[in-house]
Amino acid sequence: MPAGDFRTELKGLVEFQRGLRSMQQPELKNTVQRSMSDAARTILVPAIKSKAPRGPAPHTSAAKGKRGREGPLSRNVTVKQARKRDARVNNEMVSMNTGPRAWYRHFVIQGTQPHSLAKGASVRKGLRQNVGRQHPGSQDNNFVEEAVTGKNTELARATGDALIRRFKQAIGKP
Amino acid sequence: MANVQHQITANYTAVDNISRTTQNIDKNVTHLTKSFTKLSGAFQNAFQFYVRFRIFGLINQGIGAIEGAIPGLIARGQEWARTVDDVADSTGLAAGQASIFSGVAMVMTGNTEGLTRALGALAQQTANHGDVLKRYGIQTKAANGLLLDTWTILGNVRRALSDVGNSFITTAAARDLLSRGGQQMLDWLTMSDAAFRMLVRDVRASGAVMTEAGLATADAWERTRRRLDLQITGVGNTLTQTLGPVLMRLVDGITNVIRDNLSQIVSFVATVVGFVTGVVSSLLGIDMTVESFAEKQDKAGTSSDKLRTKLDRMAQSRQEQVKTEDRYTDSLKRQIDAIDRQLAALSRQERAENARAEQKRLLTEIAEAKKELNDLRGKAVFAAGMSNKEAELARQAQAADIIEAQKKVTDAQKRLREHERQQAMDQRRFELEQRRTMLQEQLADHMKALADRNAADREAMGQMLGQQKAGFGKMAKNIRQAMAAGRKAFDEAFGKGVAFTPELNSMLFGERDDKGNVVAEGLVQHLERAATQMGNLVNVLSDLYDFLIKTKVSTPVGDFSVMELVLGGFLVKWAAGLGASVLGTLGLGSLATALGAAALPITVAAVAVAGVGIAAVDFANKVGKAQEDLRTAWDGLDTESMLTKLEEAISSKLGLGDLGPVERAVGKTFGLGDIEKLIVNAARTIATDPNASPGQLKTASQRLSTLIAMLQGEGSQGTAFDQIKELQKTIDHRLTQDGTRDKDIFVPLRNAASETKSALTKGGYLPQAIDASNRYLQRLAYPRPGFIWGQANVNLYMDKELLMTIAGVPIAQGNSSLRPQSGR
Repeated sequence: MPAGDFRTELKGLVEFQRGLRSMQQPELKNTVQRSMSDAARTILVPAIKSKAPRGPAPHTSAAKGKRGREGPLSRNVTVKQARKRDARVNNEMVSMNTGPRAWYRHFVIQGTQPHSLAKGASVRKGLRQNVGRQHPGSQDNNFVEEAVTGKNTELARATGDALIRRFKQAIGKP
Repeated sequence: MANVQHQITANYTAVDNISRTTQNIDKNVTHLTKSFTKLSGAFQNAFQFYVRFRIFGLINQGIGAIEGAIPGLIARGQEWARTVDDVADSTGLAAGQASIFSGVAMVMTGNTEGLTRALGALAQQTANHGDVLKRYGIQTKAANGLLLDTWTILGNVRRALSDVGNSFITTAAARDLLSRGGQQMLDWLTMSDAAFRMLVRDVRASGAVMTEAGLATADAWERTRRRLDLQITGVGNTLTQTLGPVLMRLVDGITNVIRDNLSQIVSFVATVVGFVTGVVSSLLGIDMTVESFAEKQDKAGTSSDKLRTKLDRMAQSRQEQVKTEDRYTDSLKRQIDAIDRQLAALSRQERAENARAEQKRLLTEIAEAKKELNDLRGKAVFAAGMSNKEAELARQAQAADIIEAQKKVTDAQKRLREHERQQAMDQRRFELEQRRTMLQEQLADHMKALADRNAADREAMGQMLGQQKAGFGKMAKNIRQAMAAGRKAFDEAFGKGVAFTPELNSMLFGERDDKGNVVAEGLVQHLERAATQMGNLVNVLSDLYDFLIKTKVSTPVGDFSVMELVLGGFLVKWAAGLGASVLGTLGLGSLATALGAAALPITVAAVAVAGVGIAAVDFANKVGKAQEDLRTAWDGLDTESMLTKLEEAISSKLGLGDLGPVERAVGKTFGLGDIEKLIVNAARTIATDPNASPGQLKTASQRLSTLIAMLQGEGSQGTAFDQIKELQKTIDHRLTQDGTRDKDIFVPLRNAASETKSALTKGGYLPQAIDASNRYLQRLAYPRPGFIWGQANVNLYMDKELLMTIAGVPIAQGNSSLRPQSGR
């Protein structure tokens, strides 16, 4: 105890409250959303890209063993905020999805049944399926599922890491 | 994370289970801050003055100055002398005999009330009933028919009563003999010789036997004391006026701080308890009945104004609080046990293997279902030879098959999702277990960190208090050494073993029995005891510190000390413990780990006030007792000058002052005429005059030799005669010294006095000052009686400064002369 004036101090509560505020709505939502985006970009996007189908590789010795040219399915894998579905019931705070952004992605992922390539043909409407050149259909290639299966834990951990980083910044810790 | 759907895109959501809790925490933190600010302000104002280091310095400096011993001692002696005198007057016994009877009565009955009357009556009765007593073998007259002295008669009565016993007691003569108060003496009147002799020996050893000179001295003391009552000088006065109030304020202040701020302490602590328990309950979903614990604390803290009443109530309510704490602790334990049970039941490894097998099976099932679906899709309806209707039916059948196959796939995928969800839950359970272990480790680490961080402060404070305590022990030792050195100087000055009269000797150094054990305390012992008393106060203050530092109270989030609570050790223990639980629900166990590792520098100490209350009650009692003891000592403190009394005592005892006792003794015992008295008086004056010439000393010595020879021829003996002989020795001794020895005596004494005064003026500590004086006193190899008495008187005067100066305020500041000032 130093000789002299007697002082008492309560230390750290300001920083603590700062940290607390960052863990309350609406700040928390933004923090979590950004953290989840960061995690998804770090983990899911590369995984999906690696599994996305590509064009054939050139038949040259230099390109041997390499993957073919990538198209929109692998190039445009993004993370976006999704619409919350059961916000009130499940107390959903943030909803996001990650996937390839190409208009035909569902064809590749879910596969197609044999169908006509004629102009105006529609399998859904059942139009002109018997005319024109027939496409034999394609097998499904659920590369998204394949890419993200088993990555829940990793994604959660990455989200946590990102959250930690942001909380530390909020309370001024290095 | 929930509802991950792996179809076109990977969908995942975050559920908010934390906002409400953190908002509650935030509110509680704000409340905590406000409550602490109020408490902090109160403590700061209260402690600002009292906890300054100089207060302890003052205690250390002023320890040796309690003077109550002398007045008390003198008062006791005077009262005893009066009793003895009364007995002697009424019975005609000599002083020694009267004091023996008084001592015996005191031993046997515990008081001497009525002894005078009883003994007087007994003496009278023995004279009236001589014939009757003679029949019982009790002699009251000598062979020549003269009445024996009272002492002999009483002895005869005693022996007769002890021999005859009850048969005599029942007689009419005995009733008459003992009727007027003699009954109270029956116990010792019926003693055997051996028992009575033993009792008398005890009485003598106690120092209660007084001589005639002693009785006369008591009169002189009483006159001196009355005169000195008018004088207010000396350290005692300064001590009372400076250190006393400060010390009282210190002890009062600490008690008052605790008392006055106890309600704030309690309310703050209650707030903290409520904060922590509120957070924990909202996170763990436990019904925290401890909230009522906090309310009880709050009520206990604010419902009373008196410290003791308040603390007593808190102590009384502890029974309920302990039960509540136990319920909460049990609740926590049950939660932990529940987790343990669940974890044990899960048997993670087996589940993981089963899960993998299950997943594989589900994937296989999905693949097969998809294959079947693809086959169906790839299969074209062979409609050749069919009618349109048949072909359409065939196509519809195929479509139905496809739909069913799709449904199988969907179902299989759904089962896979459920399986993965179950996996996620299992994973969370595992993380719970890890988190709990981590919590415990972090709690232990945090407590260690807190302890380490405050260890330096505690050590410093402990060292400071330890130094104070050690100072008092050294003080007592130095007092003894100083007194021993002074006594040695006086002994050498006045001849071996005859420095003081027995009365003064016993007053200063106490009475000892044959084995050297102290049977009656003297000034030295009283001073030592006073030093111990002050040391006890510091011990109590040390106990206060210990109470603040070492009193640990268990809380839901760890053990903390009251000092940590009071002196700014407030931290919020949140990070690992509470955050981890919260974030665990999000499946974000890593966040908890990281927060714990980040070691946020904030924890909160939730103190169970009941525990503080119990310790505070004990402490309040100790402080009160120390305060009371100190007050008793201060109240008994006489503001008279010790030195002046000693000076008068020395002069009167040695017959070197106003010659009262010596003159009376000489006149009474030896029947000296006026001329002889004049000789003694003149010799005494010359012996004490430092400026007396050798011629004057020689004349005085010759006259005393003549007087002594005359007295010896008459067979004189006794204390007064011894004193006259010592007076001659004093004068002769001075004659053997020459002026060249002055520098061996005067200079060291003056140096000792100067150094002592200098040390004290500079605010030095008392032990150091005494050490300084001792160094010079020990150098006195061959003191001159007359001159050394003068110087020793001065040194004793300076000793007064040594023994009783406090707080660096020496007595007689500014007096450069070493001679006693007039009027002192």
